[in-house]
Amino acid sequence: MTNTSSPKKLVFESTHRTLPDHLIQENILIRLEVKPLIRLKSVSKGWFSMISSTKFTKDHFKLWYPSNDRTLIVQDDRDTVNEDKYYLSLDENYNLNEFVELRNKYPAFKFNPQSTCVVGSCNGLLCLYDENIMRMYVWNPVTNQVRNTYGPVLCKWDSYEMRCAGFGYVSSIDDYKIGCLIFYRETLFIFVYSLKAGFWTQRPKRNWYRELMLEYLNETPAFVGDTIYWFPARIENERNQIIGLDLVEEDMVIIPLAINFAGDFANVRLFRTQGRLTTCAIIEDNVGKKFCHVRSLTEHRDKGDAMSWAISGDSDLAMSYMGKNFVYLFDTGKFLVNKISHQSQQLMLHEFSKGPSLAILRVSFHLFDMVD
Amino acid sequence: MASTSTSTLSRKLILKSSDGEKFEVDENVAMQSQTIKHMIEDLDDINSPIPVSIVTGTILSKVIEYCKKHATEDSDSDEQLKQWDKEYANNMDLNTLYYLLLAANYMEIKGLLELITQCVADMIKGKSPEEIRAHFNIKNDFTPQEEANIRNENPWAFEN
Repeated sequence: MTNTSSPKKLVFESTHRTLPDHLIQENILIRLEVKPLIRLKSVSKGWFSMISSTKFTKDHFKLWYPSNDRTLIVQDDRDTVNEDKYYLSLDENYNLNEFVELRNKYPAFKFNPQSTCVVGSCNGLLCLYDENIMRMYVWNPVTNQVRNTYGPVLCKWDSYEMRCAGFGYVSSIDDYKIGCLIFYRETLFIFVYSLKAGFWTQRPKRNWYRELMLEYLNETPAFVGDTIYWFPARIENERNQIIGLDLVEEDMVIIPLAINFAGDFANVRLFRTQGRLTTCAIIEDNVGKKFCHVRSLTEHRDKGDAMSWAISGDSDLAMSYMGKNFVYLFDTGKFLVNKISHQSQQLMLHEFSKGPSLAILRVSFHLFDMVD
Repeated sequence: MASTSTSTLSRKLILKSSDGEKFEVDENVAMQSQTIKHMIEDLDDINSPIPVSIVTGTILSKVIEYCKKHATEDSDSDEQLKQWDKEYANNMDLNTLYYLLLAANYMEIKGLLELITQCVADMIKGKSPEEIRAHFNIKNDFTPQEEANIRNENPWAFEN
């Protein structure tokens, strides 16, 4: 074994620990947590590019967070002068692990907290929007890498009006994209940014979209099957529709909704659960009780090939609760509600049980103490 | 049923390492390697030795040791098997681990590959970049400035 007399043996001995890059990357590095990974970026240029590649970061995230219902960025209504974004995480038993201000969780957070909001998140990346300068960023909070998109518009003129924005990963083209719907001088423009290409494209839509788009303003989007969807702020039972921006075609889709929302709804929000578009409609009855109806939707095509969305009969999720505000519905079906009393707020995590019965309480903790 | 299991048990294969060493193993032991499984399917005469071209006899005997343990299904509980795996991996020096990793990858033995890669990952996770370079025999091709930039981007990752 120690005989190294021949030159051939010497070479063999000196490279005896060299493993093929793909083995290191796909089998070893992927099993490491983020902290050692960042440290090991400085091993060599080869390791740096292995650890930084889009494919690796995505595979790593998928392995470590196969179905995310344990971390969330919680964003207050934007009326505070302080940080309004919180990082929430739950441990494997769904007990509270962390609830901290985003800028404390990730101290290198260098965005103006008052004017910056989270547009969307995907595979651990956050898309942020600074309203003051109309600038979008893609940020990896763990590695603190930031991509400034220098857009959607190069300079903010008052005549630009952001109506909708969203962010998603399109697996068919292995690319992250930001999609925005923006008014400029009476015309609606579609702006799409490709993280891979590194630039924005813009395209005007016909004028008649203006009336439609007045119903939409900064609605929280849901990303389902390569398309970002928004729900209108105002509901009219006669002509409800969801609008979407297909990130592959980079074009708008308008989908009539074959659902009648009875009663006066305070709010309808869109989420993705089990890969399907889901509406959460919150009603308040005349004595102030709040109910939330959660319904997942599937596409329907009629004989003329017109498309609409309807409630999928077999897995209709329904729940009702009182005195609590709906916060978030995870893809796995778990959901957070915010229970407000005059002394404190509590976030509670529930889980849909089979059938339309009330959910199971899993955690209960203080969001923040309002006494102070 | 009985005849099938008897015939499976009695069927033997001969594996031949890169340095010519021959190992007679039960078919169900060898079949844990996807590579060998595919080779057998294409083989007319299973009595001739099957070459495992890049794996030496020393390593191949370790691979067979693992496959034998995992071929006998019901003798051990999952817990015992995990314990066995742990001891098996812990008894290897670094060199053997690397060769075993290459062998598991080449022979496509999923369980062994996972065991070894997890073991290597556990070993390197607490190490500094300098130690990793020494371990994997990697040349530092960063300039001091470039290396400093990476450190300064995420100083917390370099703290203990």
